[in-house]
Amino acid sequence: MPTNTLIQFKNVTLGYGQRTILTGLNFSILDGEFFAIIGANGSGKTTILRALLGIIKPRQGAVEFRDGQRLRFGYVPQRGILDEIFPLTARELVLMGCYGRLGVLRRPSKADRTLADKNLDRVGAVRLAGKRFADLSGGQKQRVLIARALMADAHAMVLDEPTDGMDLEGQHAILELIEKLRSESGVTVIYVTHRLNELANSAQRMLLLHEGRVRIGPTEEILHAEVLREVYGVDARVAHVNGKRVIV
Amino acid sequence: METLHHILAPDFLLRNSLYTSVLIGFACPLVGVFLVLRRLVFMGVALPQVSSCGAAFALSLPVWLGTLPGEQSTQMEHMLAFAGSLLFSLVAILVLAFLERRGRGIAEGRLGATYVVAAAASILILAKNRYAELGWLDLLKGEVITISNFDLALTAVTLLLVLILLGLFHKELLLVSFDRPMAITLHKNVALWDVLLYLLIGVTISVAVLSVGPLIAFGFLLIPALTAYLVSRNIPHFLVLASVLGGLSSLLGFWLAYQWNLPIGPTEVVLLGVIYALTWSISKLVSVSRAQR
Repeated sequence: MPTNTLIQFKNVTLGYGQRTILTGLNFSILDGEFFAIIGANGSGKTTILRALLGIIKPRQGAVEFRDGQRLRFGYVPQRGILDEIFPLTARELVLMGCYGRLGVLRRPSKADRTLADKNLDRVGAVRLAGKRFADLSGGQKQRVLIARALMADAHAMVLDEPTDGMDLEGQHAILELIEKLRSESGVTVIYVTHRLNELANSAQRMLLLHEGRVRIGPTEEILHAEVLREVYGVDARVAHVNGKRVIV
Repeated sequence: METLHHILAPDFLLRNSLYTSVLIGFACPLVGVFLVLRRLVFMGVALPQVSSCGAAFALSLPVWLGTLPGEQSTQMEHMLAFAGSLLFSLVAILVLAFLERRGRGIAEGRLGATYVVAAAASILILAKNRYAELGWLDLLKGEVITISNFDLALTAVTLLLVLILLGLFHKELLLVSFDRPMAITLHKNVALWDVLLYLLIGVTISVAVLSVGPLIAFGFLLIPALTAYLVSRNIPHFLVLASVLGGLSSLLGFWLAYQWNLPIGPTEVVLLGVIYALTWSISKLVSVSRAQR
Protein backbone atom coordinates (compact mmCIF):
# COMPACT_ATOMS: atom_id res chain seq x y z
CA MET A 1 0.00 0.00 0.00
CA PRO A 2 1.50 3.41 -0.97
CA THR A 3 2.44 5.55 2.03
CA ASN A 4 -0.19 8.21 1.41
CA THR A 5 -3.00 5.64 1.10
CA LEU A 6 -5.31 5.58 4.11
CA ILE A 7 -7.88 3.00 3.00
CA GLN A 8 -7.73 0.43 0.23
CA PHE A 9 -10.54 -1.70 -1.23
CA LYS A 10 -8.99 -4.81 -2.80
CA ASN A 11 -11.28 -6.69 -5.17
CA VAL A 12 -14.20 -6.28 -2.76
CA THR A 13 -17.65 -7.84 -3.25
CA LEU A 14 -20.48 -6.53 -1.05
CA GLY A 15 -24.04 -7.65 -0.43
CA TYR A 16 -26.80 -8.48 2.05
CA GLY A 17 -28.29 -11.93 2.58
CA GLN A 18 -28.58 -13.66 -0.80
CA ARG A 19 -28.24 -10.39 -2.74
CA THR A 20 -24.94 -9.17 -4.16
CA ILE A 21 -24.86 -5.36 -4.48
CA LEU A 22 -21.37 -4.56 -5.82
CA THR A 23 -18.51 -6.66 -7.14
CA GLY A 24 -14.85 -6.10 -7.96
CA LEU A 25 -14.36 -2.84 -6.09
CA ASN A 26 -10.74 -1.71 -6.34
CA PHE A 27 -9.91 1.75 -5.14
CA SER A 28 -8.01 3.63 -2.48
CA ILE A 29 -8.68 6.74 -0.42
CA LEU A 30 -5.69 8.96 0.21
CA ASP A 31 -4.72 10.57 3.48
CA GLY A 32 -6.12 14.10 3.74
CA GLU A 33 -8.14 14.06 0.52
CA PHE A 34 -11.77 15.02 -0.07
CA PHE A 35 -13.25 11.83 -1.55
CA ALA A 36 -16.82 11.71 -2.87
CA ILE A 37 -19.01 8.65 -3.34
CA ILE A 38 -21.84 9.58 -5.69
CA GLY A 39 -24.76 7.55 -6.95
CA ALA A 40 -28.54 7.40 -7.14
CA ASN A 41 -30.57 5.96 -4.26
CA GLY A 42 -30.10 2.20 -4.14
CA SER A 43 -26.86 2.27 -6.15
CA GLY A 44 -24.80 0.88 -3.25
CA LYS A 45 -23.00 3.95 -1.93
CA THR A 46 -24.16 3.44 1.67
CA THR A 47 -23.14 -0.22 1.33
CA ILE A 48 -19.58 0.89 0.49
CA LEU A 49 -19.68 3.17 3.51
CA ARG A 50 -20.86 0.35 5.76
CA ALA A 51 -18.00 -1.85 4.57
CA LEU A 52 -15.54 0.98 5.13
CA LEU A 53 -16.78 1.47 8.69
CA GLY A 54 -16.77 -2.26 9.46
CA ILE A 55 -20.55 -2.47 9.84
CA ILE A 56 -20.70 -5.19 7.15
CA LYS A 57 -17.94 -7.55 6.10
CA PRO A 58 -16.93 -8.00 2.44
CA ARG A 59 -18.05 -11.29 0.88
CA GLN A 60 -14.83 -11.37 -1.05
CA GLY A 61 -11.68 -9.29 -1.02
CA ALA A 62 -10.55 -7.03 1.79
CA VAL A 63 -10.76 -3.48 3.06
CA GLU A 64 -7.31 -2.58 4.33
CA PHE A 65 -6.17 0.36 6.39
CA ARG A 66 -2.79 2.13 6.53
CA ASP A 67 -0.20 0.10 8.47
CA GLY A 68 -2.95 -2.40 9.31
CA GLN A 69 -4.10 -0.10 12.10
CA ARG A 70 -7.67 0.36 13.31
CA LEU A 71 -8.65 3.77 12.02
CA ARG A 72 -10.73 6.20 14.02
CA PHE A 73 -13.72 7.41 12.02
CA GLY A 74 -15.84 10.47 12.72
CA TYR A 75 -19.15 9.19 11.42
CA VAL A 76 -22.03 11.46 10.47
CA PRO A 77 -25.01 9.21 9.68
CA GLN A 78 -28.07 10.14 7.66
CA ARG A 79 -30.24 12.26 9.93
CA GLY A 80 -33.29 10.05 9.57
CA ILE A 81 -31.71 6.91 11.00
CA LEU A 82 -31.31 8.34 14.51
CA ASP A 83 -34.37 7.71 16.63
CA GLU A 84 -35.54 11.00 18.12
CA ILE A 85 -37.34 9.28 20.96
CA PHE A 86 -34.05 9.51 22.91
CA PRO A 87 -34.16 12.63 25.13
CA LEU A 88 -30.55 13.55 24.39
CA THR A 89 -29.27 17.10 24.53
CA ALA A 90 -26.90 18.28 21.79
CA ARG A 91 -24.02 18.15 24.31
CA GLU A 92 -24.83 14.57 25.38
CA LEU A 93 -24.89 13.53 21.74
CA VAL A 94 -21.57 15.22 20.97
CA LEU A 95 -19.98 13.57 24.02
CA MET A 96 -20.78 10.16 22.49
CA GLY A 97 -18.01 10.91 20.01
CA CYS A 98 -15.39 10.47 22.74
CA TYR A 99 -16.74 7.11 24.00
CA GLY A 100 -14.31 5.30 21.69
CA ARG A 101 -11.21 6.62 23.43
CA LEU A 102 -12.71 6.42 26.93
CA GLY A 103 -12.31 3.06 28.61
CA VAL A 104 -15.37 0.99 29.42
CA LEU A 105 -15.62 2.19 33.01
CA ARG A 106 -14.61 5.81 32.41
CA ARG A 107 -17.16 8.58 32.14
CA PRO A 108 -16.67 11.79 30.16
CA SER A 109 -14.60 14.20 32.25
CA LYS A 110 -14.90 17.95 32.63
CA ALA A 111 -12.21 18.25 29.93
CA ASP A 112 -14.35 16.10 27.59
CA ARG A 113 -17.35 18.35 28.23
CA THR A 114 -15.21 21.41 27.52
CA LEU A 115 -14.01 19.77 24.30
CA ALA A 116 -17.64 18.99 23.34
CA ASP A 117 -18.56 22.67 23.78
CA LYS A 118 -15.46 23.69 21.82
CA ASN A 119 -16.45 21.40 18.93
CA LEU A 120 -20.01 22.70 19.06
CA ASP A 121 -18.49 26.17 18.82
CA ARG A 122 -16.37 25.12 15.80
CA VAL A 123 -19.53 24.11 13.94
CA GLY A 124 -21.42 27.22 15.07
CA ALA A 125 -23.81 25.38 17.39
CA VAL A 126 -22.54 26.09 20.92
CA ARG A 127 -25.76 27.89 21.88
CA LEU A 128 -27.62 24.61 21.18
CA ALA A 129 -25.61 22.59 23.72
CA GLY A 130 -28.41 22.26 26.29
CA LYS A 131 -31.24 21.81 23.79
CA ARG A 132 -32.83 18.47 22.95
CA PHE A 133 -31.48 17.06 19.69
CA ALA A 134 -35.01 16.13 18.58
CA ASP A 135 -36.12 19.78 18.85
CA LEU A 136 -33.42 21.11 16.47
CA SER A 137 -33.87 21.98 12.79
CA GLY A 138 -32.33 19.81 10.05
CA GLY A 139 -29.28 22.03 9.60
CA GLN A 140 -28.73 22.35 13.36
CA LYS A 141 -28.91 18.56 13.78
CA GLN A 142 -26.32 18.12 11.05
CA ARG A 143 -23.97 20.59 12.75
CA VAL A 144 -24.33 18.73 16.05
CA LEU A 145 -23.58 15.40 14.32
CA ILE A 146 -20.49 16.93 12.71
CA ALA A 147 -19.37 18.18 16.15
CA ARG A 148 -19.79 14.60 17.43
CA ALA A 149 -17.62 13.31 14.57
CA LEU A 150 -14.93 15.85 15.54
CA MET A 151 -14.85 14.46 19.10
CA ALA A 152 -13.43 11.17 17.84
CA ASP A 153 -10.11 12.82 16.83
CA ALA A 154 -10.63 10.88 13.64
CA HIS A 155 -8.32 9.86 10.81
CA ALA A 156 -11.30 10.33 8.47
CA MET A 157 -14.67 12.02 8.65
CA VAL A 158 -17.35 9.94 6.97
CA LEU A 159 -20.53 11.76 6.04
CA ASP A 160 -23.59 9.95 4.69
CA GLU A 161 -25.87 12.33 2.76
CA PRO A 162 -25.32 15.14 5.28
CA THR A 163 -27.40 17.68 3.34
CA ASP A 164 -30.28 15.39 2.43
CA GLY A 165 -33.62 17.15 2.81
CA MET A 166 -32.04 20.57 3.31
CA ASP A 167 -32.67 23.73 1.28
CA LEU A 168 -29.96 25.20 -0.97
CA GLU A 169 -28.78 27.67 1.67
CA GLY A 170 -28.52 24.92 4.29
CA GLN A 171 -26.63 22.65 1.87
CA HIS A 172 -24.19 25.40 1.08
CA ALA A 173 -23.61 26.21 4.76
CA ILE A 174 -22.91 22.56 5.66
CA LEU A 175 -20.54 22.04 2.72
CA GLU A 176 -18.71 25.26 3.56
CA LEU A 177 -18.36 24.08 7.17
CA ILE A 178 -16.91 20.71 6.10
CA GLU A 179 -14.41 22.38 3.77
CA LYS A 180 -13.40 24.77 6.57
CA LEU A 181 -12.89 21.90 9.04
CA ARG A 182 -10.85 19.99 6.49
CA SER A 183 -8.61 22.94 5.72
CA GLU A 184 -8.11 23.57 9.47
CA SER A 185 -7.23 20.02 10.47
CA GLY A 186 -6.25 18.26 7.23
CA VAL A 187 -8.59 15.40 8.05
CA THR A 188 -9.63 13.02 5.25
CA VAL A 189 -13.25 13.59 4.21
CA ILE A 190 -15.35 10.78 2.71
CA TYR A 191 -18.64 12.25 1.59
CA VAL A 192 -21.60 10.32 0.22
CA THR A 193 -24.31 12.03 -1.81
CA HIS A 194 -26.78 11.33 -4.62
CA ARG A 195 -26.43 14.83 -6.10
CA LEU A 196 -23.79 15.16 -8.83
CA ASN A 197 -23.54 18.92 -8.50
CA GLU A 198 -23.11 18.99 -4.75
CA LEU A 199 -19.41 18.18 -4.67
CA ALA A 200 -18.47 19.26 -8.19
CA ASN A 201 -16.22 21.98 -6.78
CA SER A 202 -15.18 20.45 -3.46
CA ALA A 203 -14.16 16.83 -3.98
CA GLN A 204 -10.67 16.01 -5.25
CA ARG A 205 -11.62 12.52 -6.39
CA MET A 206 -14.93 10.79 -6.98
CA LEU A 207 -16.35 7.31 -7.08
CA LEU A 208 -19.38 7.26 -9.35
CA LEU A 209 -21.90 4.42 -9.01
CA HIS A 210 -24.74 3.56 -11.34
CA GLU A 211 -26.50 0.21 -11.75
CA GLY A 212 -23.43 -1.76 -10.73
CA ARG A 213 -21.05 0.32 -12.89
CA VAL A 214 -18.24 2.05 -11.04
CA ARG A 215 -15.95 4.86 -12.20
CA ILE A 216 -13.23 6.31 -9.99
CA GLY A 217 -10.92 9.23 -10.66
CA PRO A 218 -10.15 12.90 -10.17
CA THR A 219 -13.28 15.09 -10.16
CA GLU A 220 -12.39 16.82 -13.45
CA GLU A 221 -12.12 13.42 -15.17
CA ILE A 222 -15.30 11.96 -13.68
CA LEU A 223 -17.45 15.04 -14.24
CA HIS A 224 -16.92 14.88 -17.96
CA ALA A 225 -19.71 14.67 -20.54
CA GLU A 226 -18.41 11.41 -21.99
CA VAL A 227 -18.06 9.68 -18.63
CA LEU A 228 -21.51 10.81 -17.54
CA ARG A 229 -23.00 9.56 -20.83
CA GLU A 230 -21.23 6.24 -20.41
CA VAL A 231 -22.32 5.77 -16.79
CA TYR A 232 -25.81 7.27 -16.80
CA GLY A 233 -26.66 6.91 -20.50
CA VAL A 234 -27.84 10.52 -20.75
CA ASP A 235 -26.44 13.59 -22.44
CA ALA A 236 -25.08 15.83 -19.72
CA ARG A 237 -23.05 18.97 -20.18
CA VAL A 238 -20.39 20.23 -17.80
CA ALA A 239 -20.44 24.02 -17.79
CA HIS A 240 -18.52 26.63 -15.82
CA VAL A 241 -20.39 29.50 -14.17
CA ASN A 242 -18.38 32.12 -12.29
CA GLY A 243 -15.45 29.71 -12.25
CA LYS A 244 -17.57 26.93 -10.70
CA ARG A 245 -18.23 23.58 -12.35
CA VAL A 246 -21.94 22.88 -12.97
CA ILE A 247 -23.57 19.81 -14.57
CA VAL A 248 -26.65 20.52 -16.65
CA MET B 1 -50.44 9.59 58.38
CA GLU B 2 -50.85 7.17 61.26
CA THR B 3 -51.03 4.29 58.77
CA LEU B 4 -47.88 5.55 57.07
CA HIS B 5 -46.00 5.58 60.39
CA HIS B 6 -47.33 2.12 61.06
CA ILE B 7 -46.16 0.59 57.77
CA LEU B 8 -42.75 2.27 58.04
CA ALA B 9 -42.14 0.91 61.55
CA PRO B 10 -39.37 -1.74 61.69
CA ASP B 11 -41.70 -4.25 63.37
CA PHE B 12 -44.42 -3.89 60.70
CA LEU B 13 -45.67 -7.40 59.91
CA LEU B 14 -45.58 -6.92 56.12
CA ARG B 15 -42.29 -5.05 56.03
CA ASN B 16 -40.72 -7.58 53.63
CA SER B 17 -43.58 -7.03 51.21
CA LEU B 18 -43.19 -3.26 51.49
CA TYR B 19 -39.41 -3.35 50.99
CA THR B 20 -39.71 -5.73 48.02
CA SER B 21 -42.42 -3.64 46.44
CA VAL B 22 -40.35 -0.46 46.75
CA LEU B 23 -37.20 -2.21 45.43
CA ILE B 24 -39.13 -3.43 42.38
CA GLY B 25 -40.58 0.06 42.03
CA PHE B 26 -37.11 1.60 41.89
CA ALA B 27 -35.42 -1.05 39.70
CA CYS B 28 -38.01 -1.96 37.02
CA PRO B 29 -38.25 1.55 35.52
CA LEU B 30 -34.46 1.62 35.00
CA VAL B 31 -34.64 -1.27 32.54
CA GLY B 32 -38.08 -0.09 31.38
CA VAL B 33 -36.41 3.09 30.11
CA PHE B 34 -34.35 0.99 27.69
CA LEU B 35 -37.44 -0.94 26.54
CA VAL B 36 -39.19 2.38 25.82
CA LEU B 37 -36.15 3.93 24.08
CA ARG B 38 -35.57 0.83 21.95
CA ARG B 39 -39.30 0.77 21.12
CA LEU B 40 -39.62 -2.69 22.66
CA VAL B 41 -42.54 -1.83 24.93
CA PHE B 42 -44.59 -4.86 23.91
CA MET B 43 -41.66 -7.04 24.88
CA GLY B 44 -42.38 -5.74 28.38
CA VAL B 45 -45.81 -7.45 28.22
CA ALA B 46 -44.62 -10.71 26.73
CA LEU B 47 -41.47 -11.25 28.80
CA PRO B 48 -43.07 -11.26 32.28
CA GLN B 49 -45.55 -13.85 31.00
CA VAL B 50 -42.73 -15.97 29.55
CA SER B 51 -40.87 -15.58 32.83
CA SER B 52 -43.93 -16.79 34.72
CA CYS B 53 -44.20 -19.79 32.38
CA GLY B 54 -40.52 -20.57 33.04
CA ALA B 55 -41.15 -20.54 36.79
CA ALA B 56 -44.12 -22.90 36.38
CA PHE B 57 -42.01 -25.21 34.22
CA ALA B 58 -39.10 -25.25 36.68
CA LEU B 59 -41.39 -25.92 39.64
CA SER B 60 -43.07 -28.79 37.81
CA LEU B 61 -39.86 -30.38 36.59
CA PRO B 62 -39.05 -32.21 39.88
CA VAL B 63 -42.60 -33.54 39.98
CA TRP B 64 -42.31 -34.86 36.43
CA LEU B 65 -38.95 -36.38 37.36
CA GLY B 66 -40.48 -38.09 40.41
CA THR B 67 -39.11 -35.84 43.18
CA LEU B 68 -41.94 -34.60 45.40
CA PRO B 69 -41.97 -30.88 46.11
CA GLY B 70 -42.36 -31.54 49.82
CA GLU B 71 -38.82 -32.84 49.82
CA GLN B 72 -37.53 -29.40 48.82
CA SER B 73 -37.36 -26.40 51.12
CA THR B 74 -39.34 -23.29 50.26
CA GLN B 75 -36.02 -21.54 49.56
CA MET B 76 -35.07 -24.29 47.14
CA GLU B 77 -38.47 -23.98 45.50
CA HIS B 78 -38.03 -20.24 45.04
CA MET B 79 -34.52 -20.64 43.68
CA LEU B 80 -35.85 -23.20 41.22
CA ALA B 81 -38.65 -20.85 40.16
CA PHE B 82 -36.14 -18.00 39.77
CA ALA B 83 -33.79 -20.14 37.65
CA GLY B 84 -36.64 -21.29 35.37
CA SER B 85 -38.03 -17.79 35.09
CA LEU B 86 -34.60 -16.35 34.25
CA LEU B 87 -33.78 -19.02 31.69
CA PHE B 88 -37.09 -18.64 29.84
CA SER B 89 -36.86 -14.82 29.92
CA LEU B 90 -33.33 -14.79 28.55
CA VAL B 91 -34.02 -17.25 25.75
CA ALA B 92 -37.19 -15.35 24.80
CA ILE B 93 -35.55 -11.91 24.87
CA LEU B 94 -32.56 -13.05 22.82
CA VAL B 95 -34.74 -14.76 20.18
CA LEU B 96 -37.24 -11.87 20.01
CA ALA B 97 -34.49 -9.25 19.85
CA PHE B 98 -32.67 -11.19 17.12
CA LEU B 99 -35.85 -11.41 15.03
CA GLU B 100 -36.57 -7.73 15.71
CA ARG B 101 -33.12 -6.74 14.47
CA ARG B 102 -33.52 -8.79 11.29
CA GLY B 103 -36.65 -6.73 10.70
CA ARG B 104 -38.65 -9.48 9.05
CA GLY B 105 -42.26 -10.46 9.83
CA ILE B 106 -44.66 -8.62 12.11
CA ALA B 107 -42.95 -7.80 15.40
CA GLU B 108 -46.20 -7.02 17.28
CA GLY B 109 -47.67 -10.32 16.06
CA ARG B 110 -44.68 -12.28 17.36
CA LEU B 111 -44.87 -10.58 20.75
CA GLY B 112 -48.64 -11.06 20.98
CA ALA B 113 -48.29 -14.75 20.10
CA THR B 114 -45.47 -15.15 22.65
CA TYR B 115 -47.61 -13.54 25.35
CA VAL B 116 -50.71 -15.61 24.77
CA VAL B 117 -48.87 -18.93 24.30
CA ALA B 118 -46.80 -18.34 27.46
CA ALA B 119 -49.93 -17.49 29.46
CA ALA B 120 -51.76 -20.57 28.18
CA ALA B 121 -48.73 -22.82 28.74
CA SER B 122 -48.43 -21.64 32.36
CA ILE B 123 -52.06 -22.58 32.98
CA LEU B 124 -51.62 -25.96 31.29
CA ILE B 125 -48.45 -26.81 33.24
CA LEU B 126 -50.09 -25.98 36.55
CA ALA B 127 -53.47 -27.54 35.70
CA LYS B 128 -51.89 -30.98 35.43
CA ASN B 129 -49.92 -30.55 38.63
CA ARG B 130 -51.58 -31.45 41.92
CA TYR B 131 -49.04 -29.45 43.92
CA ALA B 132 -49.88 -26.22 42.13
CA GLU B 133 -52.49 -25.30 44.74
CA LEU B 134 -49.85 -25.49 47.49
CA GLY B 135 -48.65 -21.93 47.11
CA TRP B 136 -47.31 -22.12 43.56
CA LEU B 137 -50.22 -20.16 42.12
CA ASP B 138 -49.54 -17.42 44.66
CA LEU B 139 -45.89 -17.47 43.64
CA LEU B 140 -46.75 -17.10 39.95
CA LYS B 141 -49.42 -14.46 40.53
CA GLY B 142 -46.84 -12.58 42.58
CA GLU B 143 -48.52 -12.39 45.97
CA VAL B 144 -46.46 -9.61 47.42
CA ILE B 145 -47.97 -10.35 50.85
CA THR B 146 -46.06 -13.63 51.25
CA ILE B 147 -42.45 -12.45 50.92
CA SER B 148 -39.96 -14.31 53.13
CA ASN B 149 -36.62 -12.93 54.34
CA PHE B 150 -34.91 -15.13 51.75
CA ASP B 151 -37.08 -13.71 48.94
CA LEU B 152 -36.34 -10.19 50.09
CA ALA B 153 -32.60 -10.86 50.23
CA LEU B 154 -32.65 -12.51 46.78
CA THR B 155 -34.56 -9.56 45.32
CA ALA B 156 -32.33 -6.96 47.00
CA VAL B 157 -29.04 -8.59 45.96
CA THR B 158 -30.17 -9.22 42.38
CA LEU B 159 -31.55 -5.73 41.88
CA LEU B 160 -28.47 -4.17 43.46
CA LEU B 161 -26.32 -6.10 40.99
CA VAL B 162 -28.50 -4.90 38.10
CA LEU B 163 -28.26 -1.32 39.38
CA ILE B 164 -24.46 -1.50 39.66
CA LEU B 165 -24.06 -2.93 36.14
CA LEU B 166 -26.45 -0.38 34.68
CA GLY B 167 -24.51 2.39 36.42
CA LEU B 168 -21.10 1.10 35.32
CA PHE B 169 -22.00 0.42 31.69
CA HIS B 170 -24.72 2.99 31.12
CA LYS B 171 -22.55 4.81 28.57
CA GLU B 172 -22.08 1.75 26.34
CA LEU B 173 -25.68 0.55 26.73
CA LEU B 174 -26.94 3.97 25.69
CA LEU B 175 -24.61 4.20 22.70
CA VAL B 176 -25.52 0.78 21.24
CA SER B 177 -29.21 1.51 21.81
CA PHE B 178 -29.11 4.94 20.17
CA ASP B 179 -26.61 4.62 17.32
CA ARG B 180 -25.44 1.09 16.58
CA PRO B 181 -23.36 1.99 13.47
CA MET B 182 -21.58 4.70 15.45
CA ALA B 183 -20.84 2.19 18.23
CA ILE B 184 -19.28 -0.14 15.63
CA THR B 185 -17.13 2.66 14.20
CA LEU B 186 -15.90 3.36 17.77
CA HIS B 187 -14.88 -0.34 17.95
CA LYS B 188 -17.49 -1.28 20.56
CA ASN B 189 -18.57 -4.92 20.71
CA VAL B 190 -22.25 -4.22 20.07
CA ALA B 191 -23.38 -7.85 20.34
CA LEU B 192 -21.79 -8.12 23.79
CA TRP B 193 -23.45 -4.93 25.05
CA ASP B 194 -26.80 -5.99 23.60
CA VAL B 195 -26.56 -9.32 25.40
CA LEU B 196 -25.64 -7.58 28.67
CA LEU B 197 -28.62 -5.25 28.37
CA TYR B 198 -30.96 -8.17 27.62
CA LEU B 199 -29.48 -10.06 30.55
CA LEU B 200 -30.19 -7.14 32.89
CA ILE B 201 -33.74 -6.81 31.53
CA GLY B 202 -34.29 -10.57 31.88
CA VAL B 203 -32.96 -10.73 35.46
CA THR B 204 -35.01 -7.73 36.58
CA ILE B 205 -38.18 -9.11 35.03
CA SER B 206 -37.62 -12.56 36.59
CA VAL B 207 -37.17 -11.08 40.06
CA ALA B 208 -40.14 -8.76 39.61
CA VAL B 209 -42.45 -11.51 38.32
CA LEU B 210 -41.72 -13.79 41.27
CA SER B 211 -42.32 -10.93 43.71
CA VAL B 212 -45.22 -9.01 42.25
CA GLY B 213 -46.47 -11.07 39.27
CA PRO B 214 -46.40 -10.43 35.50
CA LEU B 215 -49.09 -7.73 35.39
CA ILE B 216 -47.58 -5.52 38.07
CA ALA B 217 -44.06 -6.11 36.71
CA PHE B 218 -45.18 -4.80 33.31
CA GLY B 219 -46.81 -1.81 34.99
CA PHE B 220 -43.56 -0.87 36.71
CA LEU B 221 -41.48 -1.50 33.59
CA LEU B 222 -43.60 0.76 31.44
CA ILE B 223 -45.58 3.48 33.22
CA PRO B 224 -42.84 5.24 35.25
CA ALA B 225 -40.64 5.40 32.12
CA LEU B 226 -43.49 6.82 30.01
CA THR B 227 -44.35 9.37 32.68
CA ALA B 228 -40.74 10.47 33.19
CA TYR B 229 -40.29 10.78 29.42
CA LEU B 230 -42.91 13.53 29.33
CA VAL B 231 -40.84 15.83 31.53
CA SER B 232 -37.21 14.69 31.07
CA ARG B 233 -34.69 17.03 29.50
CA ASN B 234 -31.82 14.56 29.20
CA ILE B 235 -30.94 10.89 29.72
CA PRO B 236 -29.66 11.01 33.35
CA HIS B 237 -32.75 13.05 34.30
CA PHE B 238 -34.94 10.45 32.53
CA LEU B 239 -33.38 7.47 34.33
CA VAL B 240 -33.41 9.04 37.79
CA LEU B 241 -36.93 10.43 37.45
CA ALA B 242 -38.39 7.12 36.20
CA SER B 243 -36.74 5.20 39.04
CA VAL B 244 -37.74 7.66 41.78
CA LEU B 245 -41.29 7.81 40.43
CA GLY B 246 -41.53 4.00 40.44
CA GLY B 247 -40.13 3.70 43.98
CA LEU B 248 -42.29 6.45 45.49
CA SER B 249 -45.42 5.23 43.69
CA SER B 250 -44.95 1.76 45.08
CA LEU B 251 -44.57 3.18 48.61
CA LEU B 252 -47.61 5.41 48.19
CA GLY B 253 -49.59 2.59 46.53
CA PHE B 254 -48.74 0.22 49.37
CA TRP B 255 -49.86 2.81 51.89
CA LEU B 256 -53.18 3.42 50.09
CA ALA B 257 -53.80 -0.32 49.67
CA TYR B 258 -53.13 -0.94 53.36
CA GLN B 259 -55.29 2.02 54.40
CA TRP B 260 -58.28 0.98 52.26
CA ASN B 261 -57.76 -2.77 52.40
CA LEU B 262 -57.13 -3.12 48.65
CA PRO B 263 -54.88 -5.59 46.77
CA ILE B 264 -51.40 -4.05 46.79
CA GLY B 265 -50.08 -4.62 43.25
CA PRO B 266 -53.16 -3.42 41.35
CA THR B 267 -53.42 -0.35 43.61
CA GLU B 268 -49.81 0.55 42.80
CA VAL B 269 -50.34 0.16 39.05
CA VAL B 270 -53.58 2.17 39.04
CA LEU B 271 -51.80 4.89 41.01
CA LEU B 272 -49.01 4.91 38.38
CA GLY B 273 -51.68 5.23 35.69
CA VAL B 274 -53.28 8.20 37.48
CA ILE B 275 -49.88 9.91 37.84
CA TYR B 276 -49.18 9.30 34.13
CA ALA B 277 -52.56 10.78 33.10
CA LEU B 278 -52.03 13.82 35.34
CA THR B 279 -48.47 14.40 34.10
CA TRP B 280 -49.57 14.06 30.47
CA SER B 281 -52.43 16.56 30.99
CA ILE B 282 -50.19 19.07 32.77
CA SER B 283 -47.41 18.77 30.17
CA LYS B 284 -49.95 19.35 27.36
CA LEU B 285 -51.36 22.41 29.17
CA VAL B 286 -47.85 23.79 29.67
CA SER B 287 -46.92 23.29 26.00
CA VAL B 288 -50.19 24.92 24.84
CA SER B 289 -49.69 27.93 27.13
CA ARG B 290 -46.04 28.25 25.95
CA ALA B 291 -47.19 28.17 22.32
CA GLN B 292 -49.72 30.94 23.00
CA ARG B 293 -47.11 33.23 24.62
